[in-house]
Amino acid sequence: MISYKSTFNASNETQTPPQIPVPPSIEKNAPPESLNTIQQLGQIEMPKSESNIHCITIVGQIEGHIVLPPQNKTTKYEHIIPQLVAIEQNPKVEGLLIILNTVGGDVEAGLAIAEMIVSMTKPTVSLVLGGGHSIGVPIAVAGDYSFIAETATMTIHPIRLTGLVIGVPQTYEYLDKMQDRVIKFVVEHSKIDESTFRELMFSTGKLARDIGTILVGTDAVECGLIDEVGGIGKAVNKLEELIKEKKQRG
Amino acid sequence: MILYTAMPLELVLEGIDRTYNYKEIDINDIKLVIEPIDINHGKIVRLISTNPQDYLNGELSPGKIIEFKIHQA
Repeated sequence: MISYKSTFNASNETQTPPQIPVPPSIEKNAPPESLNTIQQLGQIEMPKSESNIHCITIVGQIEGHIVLPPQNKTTKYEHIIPQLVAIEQNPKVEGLLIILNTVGGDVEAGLAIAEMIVSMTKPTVSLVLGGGHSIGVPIAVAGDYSFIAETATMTIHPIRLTGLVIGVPQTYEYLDKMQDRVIKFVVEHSKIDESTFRELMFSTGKLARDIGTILVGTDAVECGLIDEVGGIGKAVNKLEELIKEKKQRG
Repeated sequence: MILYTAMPLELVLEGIDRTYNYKEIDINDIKLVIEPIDINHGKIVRLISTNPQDYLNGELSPGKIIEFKIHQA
């Protein structure tokens, strides 16, 4: 038993820990900590390359004045707004890409984000991927140029009241006013005209449970809501083009 | 609040009456609202700062889980 133990120990001691060969090019540039990362976890930290564009993804529900229950994926407007301020102010950032896959959300929060994007002096391009529904529509049209993926959808429907509703004419007037804010914004910042947009919003028979319309990819472009059908490649190219144009103008 | 969403409201608002146990902490003069997960972890809920560049810092974005450590002076 004893002899076995000693030979086991001896053989264990002679074993050297496995060495991972490091290519000389990485060794030269990387600090010693990243070498440790390679040996311990088999990972290397990616070299940091600064991008001149920033990307904001607006997903799930747009969360406004009330915190939504945790089963919702939310985009918090109190975080997006200062981010837009930072992007506008940071000289290293030259353009902004907004990627949307949202089901809608708070009217005030959505319009606030949309107004912020519109008033930015830096080039902005928006891309609707899965869906840009309800209050996602004003955000989608807020950029300087907008894209929609071929299979992406946009639902346009009237605003409904939630919570306690007092059944007086003023309630409906208020609701109408809120709706007009959305319509006015969309009409002002896209090529769609007001009558077409209202028609889409109040048409019946196109949505199973509701009045309204679903626009798929090319439909959104045909009615003038979105500028072009395209994906991420087109969107980034367009943004770079706009950045170049802005530089030339001085 | 007016929710303008294509999702059924009963799905969105399910569990709205949940109570939250948020705590405010300071990290390098930046105020964070966090939701404690266990004794030494918390999830960032909100960032409160007047420096807009803080909002571009991925380490401080909402949803990030942070670890509390004993402060050694």
